[in-house]
Amino acid sequence: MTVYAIITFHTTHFSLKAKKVLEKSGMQFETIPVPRKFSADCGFCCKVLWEAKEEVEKILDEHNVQIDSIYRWKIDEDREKKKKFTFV
Amino acid sequence: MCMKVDVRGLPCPQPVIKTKEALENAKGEPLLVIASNEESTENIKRFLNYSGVQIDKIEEENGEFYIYTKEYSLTPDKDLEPQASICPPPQTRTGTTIFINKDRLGHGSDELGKTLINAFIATIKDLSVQPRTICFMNTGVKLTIEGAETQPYLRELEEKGIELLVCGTCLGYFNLKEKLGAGKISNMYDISETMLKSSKVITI
Repeated sequence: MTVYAIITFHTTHFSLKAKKVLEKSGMQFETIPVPRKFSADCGFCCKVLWEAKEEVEKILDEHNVQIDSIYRWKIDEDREKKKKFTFV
Repeated sequence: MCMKVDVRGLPCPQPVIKTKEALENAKGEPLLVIASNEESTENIKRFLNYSGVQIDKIEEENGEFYIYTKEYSLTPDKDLEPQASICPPPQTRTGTTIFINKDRLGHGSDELGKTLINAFIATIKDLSVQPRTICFMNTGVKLTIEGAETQPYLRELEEKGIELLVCGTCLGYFNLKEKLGAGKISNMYDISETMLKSSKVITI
């Protein structure tokens, strides 16, 4: 089980800026589409380890990147990888 | 007098089924079966032999086959069920292929385009439906190299059994052959054949 913080933004511009800022900072993160369960809106979010949440918030705040919401996402990644799928 | 049965263009096993129906209806009268290919003709011949119906002659004209039978009497207890196994299995399709020919998605903003392609690949790996193959060409190959944001996602797809074909010429052009981090080096033959054999190709 891994716990992630899913950080969403008000606009795509903020999410792209967040990506740039976090890349420079050397933090571990992923920019992914906001998972359906958190929001039906089309947009990118930052996925970081829950432990890194505060540091990431600080960096984003320093660079005036406005955060919309932060969600806690607990996920069993090994199980996810083994999930069944069909070829289409 | 003979009864005509036209089975031209019918898919297997229809030609044999139609012939069987005609045999039963013609009640011993000779048949003329017209088929449009050799496979059907062979299957019909085999079926007629099995049914105890003698073939008078077979004529070929413009790629069409005219099968004439002699008069016959059907053995009433003979099971005339044509065998389904005479048909070759339907040509297997390789499913969906995604063709990625650049390292971004869409036109307009490169920054947005790069984030979108990363998001696209990160998303498909989690879906319950998967393509059979993903082909990479031109700057699309950059998505497969070590250090690329998409590389871990592509590795995951590969582990699931999705085939990743990466254009070797393109890797060579960008001097990235040594850095391939997901998929296998492929060529124009494999990539174009894969696309042609797929039931659906989605170009990104």
